[in-house]
Amino acid sequence: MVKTLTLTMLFAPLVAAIITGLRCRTISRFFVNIICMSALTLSLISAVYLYTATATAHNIYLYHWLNIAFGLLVDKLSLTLSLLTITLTWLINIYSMRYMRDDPGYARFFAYMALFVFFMLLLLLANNLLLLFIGWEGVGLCSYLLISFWFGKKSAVFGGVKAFIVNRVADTGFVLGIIALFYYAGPVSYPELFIKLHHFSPIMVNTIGIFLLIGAMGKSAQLPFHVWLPASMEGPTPISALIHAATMVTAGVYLLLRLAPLFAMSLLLRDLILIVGATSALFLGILALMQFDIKRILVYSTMSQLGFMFAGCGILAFSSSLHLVINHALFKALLFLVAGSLSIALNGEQDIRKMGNLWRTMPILFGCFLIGAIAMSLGGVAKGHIIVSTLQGGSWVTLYAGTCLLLGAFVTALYSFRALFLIFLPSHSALDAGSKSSRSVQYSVDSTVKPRNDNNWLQSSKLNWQIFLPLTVLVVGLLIINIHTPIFSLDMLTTILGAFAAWLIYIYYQIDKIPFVNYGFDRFNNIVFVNGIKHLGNSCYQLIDTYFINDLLIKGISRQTMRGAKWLRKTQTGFLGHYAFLALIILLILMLRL
Amino acid sequence: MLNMHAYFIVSSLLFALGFFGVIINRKNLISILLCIELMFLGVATNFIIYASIYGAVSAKIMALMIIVVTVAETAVGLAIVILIHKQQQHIDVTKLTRLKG
Repeated sequence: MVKTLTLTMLFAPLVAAIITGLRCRTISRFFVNIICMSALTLSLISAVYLYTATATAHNIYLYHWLNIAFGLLVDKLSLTLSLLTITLTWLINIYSMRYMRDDPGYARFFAYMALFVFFMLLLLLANNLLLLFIGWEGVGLCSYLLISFWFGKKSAVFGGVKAFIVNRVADTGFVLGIIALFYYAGPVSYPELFIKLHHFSPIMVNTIGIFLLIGAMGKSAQLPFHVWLPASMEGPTPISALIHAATMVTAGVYLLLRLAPLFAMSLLLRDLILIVGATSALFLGILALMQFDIKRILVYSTMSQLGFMFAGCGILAFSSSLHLVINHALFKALLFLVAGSLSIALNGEQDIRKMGNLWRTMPILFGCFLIGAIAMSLGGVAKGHIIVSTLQGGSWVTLYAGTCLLLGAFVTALYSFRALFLIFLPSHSALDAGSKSSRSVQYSVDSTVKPRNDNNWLQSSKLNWQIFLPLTVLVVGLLIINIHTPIFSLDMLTTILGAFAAWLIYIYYQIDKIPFVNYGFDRFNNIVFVNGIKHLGNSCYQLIDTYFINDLLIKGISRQTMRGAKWLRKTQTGFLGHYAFLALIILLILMLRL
Repeated sequence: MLNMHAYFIVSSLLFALGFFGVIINRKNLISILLCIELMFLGVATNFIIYASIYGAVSAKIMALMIIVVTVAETAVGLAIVILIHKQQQHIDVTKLTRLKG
């Protein structure tokens, strides 16, 4: 029963992806909707049933290949995240029907999306690291395909390639970790692995852990590897909501949660995770303050929130991390969907400097964004728990991490309310636009918003139930999850402080000249890695390809063959006597041997 | 058994004469054919010697066979020689080196 349901949940999206993907040029939108929605609904029903029905962990055996038993591990962790993934995909699928309505690649989009769900579920449900890795690379592939979905757009193609390459770099570490783990423990499923862990020496644990951590950092866009996630915003907004905010980027956190016994064994690993997470939480949060593209604000905040989750794993607050993963998936999906709706309503505009005073025309989106921003600043009970337990850690590392996280929470509130105020409240640009001619860029908000003032955009064909149903469900889900958030807590304090600071800065004093920095990671990567690898590739080309392979091997072999042939053909004299003599000699030799 | 040795020496000499005739001959195709005949004769003599030692009739038949085959081979060889002579107006082996590398 469990096996059937799990397989249904896993393979229904794959079937939908294959059907729609193979016929994507000819299939009609109606059939795409029917196939994808029915597959996802089937998957969703199975997931809900499994979630409510299974209390214990099931290790489902699937098949044997190369002496490795592949199977699915159905337990609370994988089921929770699977349910989350499918629910969000289901909602975002509905949303995408509206968002992608006029796109020529309609069927292709939904095929990729269904394929993504399959790989994500495979990642979550896999019972050993090899199967997880298949899912891991699969979601990476789908992410690449969806980022460069509009392949006519140069920046989208670059973004996709960048995401793919940065992920491959991090995956190198991941693969090495898996190899090391298999070398020491054999290709076993997680429960057996955790039993074998006790025989591991600390050095082994540290080595494996660091390699796996590199993989997790790449997928979750933590500090050295974060450069790919902002580039991924070139894809369609539903994809940003689903893949690059809610599900795929949390795969790194899932890896930490899944291998929690491994990472909990070593203090070094815990401290590393804590430092990486806390540093990302603060410094990537600060970057969000300098963005003007709404999607980029949200994506930097995603990386910052992922930093909080990492930090939670680093101080062994795994349940808080998981809680934050779920919470983050909901509010970030909500915020991205609001951003997408805004860009539909404003004819593709994403620059928050050109928005303002939209709360009167778009009250529902305002409410959704407000709830999302508050939820992001609060982070449920989990974020406060993570911060407090980090601060209580009692070492230099935890002190540093705790400070970073506390400031990060403040910055979170600051940038979420900054976005909220600049988009929806009557900001400076809308108020005194007439007096400040220098802000003509911001002034254009009137031209984009005013028309919608007249013909009441809610009734216009631009936004419909396909947009509002997912928003409503997400808001309700957020409220249900966060119903127990305490009123008086550290988060509430940082949230209020952050909101007040945002109001002070952006509404009252109207400071918008924040210097733009991005810590030079992209430049550093360009100079050191891109140029370095270019030079390396060039010299390899010169030395290995041109000199060694071409001149020495290919031309050399042909030249030596010619020379040898020229020498050998002299033996063919054409005289019968010579041949007969040779035959005699050979005959004598053979007779001597006999 | 001494006379047996003598017989063997005769047959080996016949064979060696033919063989070195093939190797050392620089000129004439027909003399090469003759030398091949000599080698065949040596082999046939060998058969007859063994036949007389062991009293085997089959060896004698073999010797007769060899003679018949030799005749046929000579006929074919002479035909080739004639054809070569028609085409090249000579039968000089040293000049027939078309297969030279």
